[in-house]
Amino acid sequence: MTEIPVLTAMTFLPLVGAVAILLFRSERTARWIALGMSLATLAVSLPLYRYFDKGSSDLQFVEHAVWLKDWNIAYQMGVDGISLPFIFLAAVLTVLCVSVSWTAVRTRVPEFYAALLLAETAMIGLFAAANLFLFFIFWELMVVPLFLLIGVWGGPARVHAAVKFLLFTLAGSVLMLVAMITLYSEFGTLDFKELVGQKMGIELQGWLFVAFLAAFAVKVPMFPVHTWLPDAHTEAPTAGSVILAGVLLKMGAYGFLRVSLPILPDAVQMFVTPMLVLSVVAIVYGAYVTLMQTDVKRLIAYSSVSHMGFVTLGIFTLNSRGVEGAILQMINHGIISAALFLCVGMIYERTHTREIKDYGGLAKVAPVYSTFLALFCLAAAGFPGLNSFVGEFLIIGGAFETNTWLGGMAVWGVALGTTYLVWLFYRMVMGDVNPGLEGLKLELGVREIATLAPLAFVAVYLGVYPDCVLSYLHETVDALLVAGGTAS
Amino acid sequence: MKFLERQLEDPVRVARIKRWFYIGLAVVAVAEIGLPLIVHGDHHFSFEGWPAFGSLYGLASCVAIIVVSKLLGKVWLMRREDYYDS
Amino acid sequence: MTLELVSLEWMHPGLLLILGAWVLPLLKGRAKSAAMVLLPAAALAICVRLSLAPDTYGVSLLGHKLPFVFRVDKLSLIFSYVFSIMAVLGMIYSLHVKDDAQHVSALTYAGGALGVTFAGDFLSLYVFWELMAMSSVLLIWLRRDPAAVAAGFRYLLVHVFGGLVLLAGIVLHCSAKGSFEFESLGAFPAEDDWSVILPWCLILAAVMLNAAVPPLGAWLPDAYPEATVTGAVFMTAFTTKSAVYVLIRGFAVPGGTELIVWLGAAMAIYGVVFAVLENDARRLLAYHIISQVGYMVCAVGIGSDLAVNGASAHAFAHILYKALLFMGAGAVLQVTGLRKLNEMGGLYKTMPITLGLYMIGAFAISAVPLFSGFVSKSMIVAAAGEDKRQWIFLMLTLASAGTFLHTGLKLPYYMFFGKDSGARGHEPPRNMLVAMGLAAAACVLIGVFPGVLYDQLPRAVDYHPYSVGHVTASLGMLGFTALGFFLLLKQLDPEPKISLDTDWFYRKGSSAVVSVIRGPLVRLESGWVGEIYELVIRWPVLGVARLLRRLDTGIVDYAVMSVGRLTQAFSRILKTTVSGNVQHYGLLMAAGVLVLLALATIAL
Repeated sequence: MTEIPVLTAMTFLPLVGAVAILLFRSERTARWIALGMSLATLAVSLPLYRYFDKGSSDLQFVEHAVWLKDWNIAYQMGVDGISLPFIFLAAVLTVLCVSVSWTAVRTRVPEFYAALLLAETAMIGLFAAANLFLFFIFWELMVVPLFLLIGVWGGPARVHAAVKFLLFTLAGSVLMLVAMITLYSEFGTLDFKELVGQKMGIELQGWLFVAFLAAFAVKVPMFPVHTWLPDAHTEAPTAGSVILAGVLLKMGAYGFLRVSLPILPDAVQMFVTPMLVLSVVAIVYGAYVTLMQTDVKRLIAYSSVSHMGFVTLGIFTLNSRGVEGAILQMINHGIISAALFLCVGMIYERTHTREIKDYGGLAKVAPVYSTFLALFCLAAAGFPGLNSFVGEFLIIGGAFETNTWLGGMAVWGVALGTTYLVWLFYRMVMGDVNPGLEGLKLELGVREIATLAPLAFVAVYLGVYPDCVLSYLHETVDALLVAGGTAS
Repeated sequence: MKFLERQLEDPVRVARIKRWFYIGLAVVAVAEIGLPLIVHGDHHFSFEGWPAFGSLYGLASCVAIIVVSKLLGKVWLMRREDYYDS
Repeated sequence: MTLELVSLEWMHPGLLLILGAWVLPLLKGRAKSAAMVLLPAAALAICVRLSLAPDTYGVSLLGHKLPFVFRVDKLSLIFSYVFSIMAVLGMIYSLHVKDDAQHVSALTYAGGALGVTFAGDFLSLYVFWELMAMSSVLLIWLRRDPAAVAAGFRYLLVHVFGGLVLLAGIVLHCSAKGSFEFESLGAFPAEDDWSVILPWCLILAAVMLNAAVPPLGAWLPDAYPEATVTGAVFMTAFTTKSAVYVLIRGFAVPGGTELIVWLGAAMAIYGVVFAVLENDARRLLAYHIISQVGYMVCAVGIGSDLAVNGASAHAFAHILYKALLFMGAGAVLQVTGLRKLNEMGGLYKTMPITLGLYMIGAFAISAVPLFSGFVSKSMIVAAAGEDKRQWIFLMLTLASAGTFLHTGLKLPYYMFFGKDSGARGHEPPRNMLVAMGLAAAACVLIGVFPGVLYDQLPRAVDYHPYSVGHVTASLGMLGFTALGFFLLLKQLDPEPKISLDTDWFYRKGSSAVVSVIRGPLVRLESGWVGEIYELVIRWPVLGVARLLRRLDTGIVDYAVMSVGRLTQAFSRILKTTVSGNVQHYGLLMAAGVLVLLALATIAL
């Protein structure tokens, strides 16, 4: 039990900010409150990294308060090596979202920032939750602000996309609710730590796995329940896309790591092969479909399907290299996808078109932007020296450990990934300036550079020194695999 | 600059160059046949010892390459310059 | 022993170039020119200093031990020397170029090659390998011509693909061996174990792709002619020769590897055959790179000490004379704008110095005695002889004839002599001539004093190129090749056409793949997979919702409304009773009293 409730503060500060924004109802103060609160949340999180004990796999910074006593559900928060990087990611990305929406959102501004901050509360709460009840609450809570973000401030087909997002997610979480109730009725507790050791029959485990799979697979998203993603990502405003791609997708994979692997180990073993196959399908199929996209945002969205396929592949290799690589890759993808969506959003603000054919020759008119874009495309492609390389390398290593074909398919996926990114870069940045872009001031402003620069820095830093994330993971992942009965 | 031009533009001079070239070839051929008889080098293969092997093989190679390549080109590989532009 | 990666006493020569390149955009004028030449010269100096302490070093950065290994031995040193020298010559040649991006790319590229050379572990090898691919593609793209942009894109894709094959091979190999050490992979694995055979094949395939071994080599003649004038000079040296280095290090074994020998010999002839058909001057020279690298690959396959020495020596000499040839052709391109042979001719009148220097390079590549090719190529041919491989010997000699035919005869004839096309040039800028002159001097120097080169060779040398028989045989071969050239001159006239190479498969093939993806796959995604949402979720959910709404309005609502309507009807009836008519009230009251009395009677 910590003296200063860092996690609770982090979780609810944004909520306080949201309430304040709604009270003040002024556009200008809304922006500044949002910025202030998100920066404060980030600042409050700093002690987490400083004082984290990398040698322990237990939950740290635990906060416990008695809540629903009769039902044996406590308010309990805590982080371990797996959740810590995600909390950092969520905090940082929210700040960047506030920054990028500064001038892009012009209608109903206070509500927008309130929704954004509410989303931050849900994200951090989910990763910090130490029992399934809180996990579920924040899981559901997340849907509301995102539904609003997409449906109100999104693109032309926003309502369809928002409803699709809503229905897909809820369909999955209904089953998760059922599973949660089942677990509770069986064991009388929803605390993660207590659930890990419980003995369960293989049949029960199997059904529970499928139920949780429904929720997690939709979020990740795995093939074939991924079709909500392109619409949602494309129609969402830039901040929405960044949150979606950067954090929301990771919640599904995090669910696998937090719930399925430790609590349902026998079921995991049973379902390993289909999960691996689906992951590979997502990687290759996602990459091929990405290749043919004509809309930039849609292209990046589909590439997320492919990249998250890598993540699930890594997780289900069930060896330490694969799982560590998968977690690292989730962080990397969170940074890079966010960066790419930010880039797209910034240029969209000026040109109001997302079609690739309307672009070309950006290198000549916007060299700083093109450099950032080049860096992020290279990073996404897995260029050595940049962040994704290490993650992909570990996952490929883990995949080859399990099965040679898997490794081969993973490598093929990287090849395709590089292809579509290079092609995108080539079409947008190289060549002659597209006549449709005449007269537009396309180069980045100071605020925008300030938004992208931290991501660029992290991409390079993680590429050269991935240990700064990996060092947090070792103990926890080992414990996870032991609990899952598959220690390597 | 002018020197080369003078040499090559004048047909008489060009004929003289050609004559020296043929003489040179003859000298080399003779040397090739004759010298190994005097100075014994070690050969890896038997055919290296055939008289004027280098010269004859050089001529044969040259002709073979030109003929075969041109044939391949005409029959199969040569296309218009804009073949790949779609 | 561990070396600190960036320290005052020592710095990785490759990193010096890669990081130092970024200084260039900040400088101007004389300072920039000086830096351009000094950086690679400094790298060369470091290499020379390293030769004093050959060892395998660990590497650390700021106290953290990195998983990289830095290996200095005779093999890596000889390649590092020639790469640094080449970088110096290339930068001198590029002094006149105003485009900083080209200079940064070129130095990064050279630095990457040095990195590959000194890599003692597979990780750093891979990193520098990819870095080379990325920086060299810029040298193509910076020509800023649509054809160049397209060619560069193809180049990049091919090399990314090759890089990934390498990565897969490395991952498999290192998992099997348990370490990242870059050691010899040996001959083709004898055990019938896929986990050993597969990485061997993958790594070999990836290295061969970079060495431009057919059928994986079509990228070279596709991309090199499209690069910038100065960029192409760099490109001829680094990608292919660093691949040769990796081949020597990884695959040259004493017993030899049949597959590699035959591939190399076939490669040597392949380049020469295709060169006959070429009309573009630089593409012809590019095919000759394939041919010469074929000699080196063949030597790796033979694997004996003489062969390995030959491969190293030939790589050394080749870098220098090939650069000289490309510098010459590049100078012509720069000055006249011409690249097609059928458009050139008669340039000897206006570019005699270029011609002269070019011819030195041509004599070097043709292995004319007293030039560098003579002392290096013959080592390889002699190694084939010592290994009693007749057919290889004959094939390599045939390719030699072909080399002289194209580079020494055809190219200069159509470029400088021949039918006067009316093209007029002038001598190129002085820095280009200086670079060419230095390269030419090196070619002659090595030819006249082969010992200078032989001392640097990795294995013990017991070879003497200047034997009577050898010299006369060479002269004979060259002379009679020239005879053949003049006899068949008419046949060789260049035509404005292109020839197909194995890149046909991915150039024509890619449009087939694209149509598959664009057609069926996209239809699958948007049609079936996307529509599943419609069928399974949206339609039922909304359908149920619609049903319930009808239920709502139809029944529930109807019931509620009916109650309301009944009430309304009742109240209407009641309203009639309140008519304001006293008789009615009286009647009603009487009726009411009677009813009450009746009820009371019944109850009692």
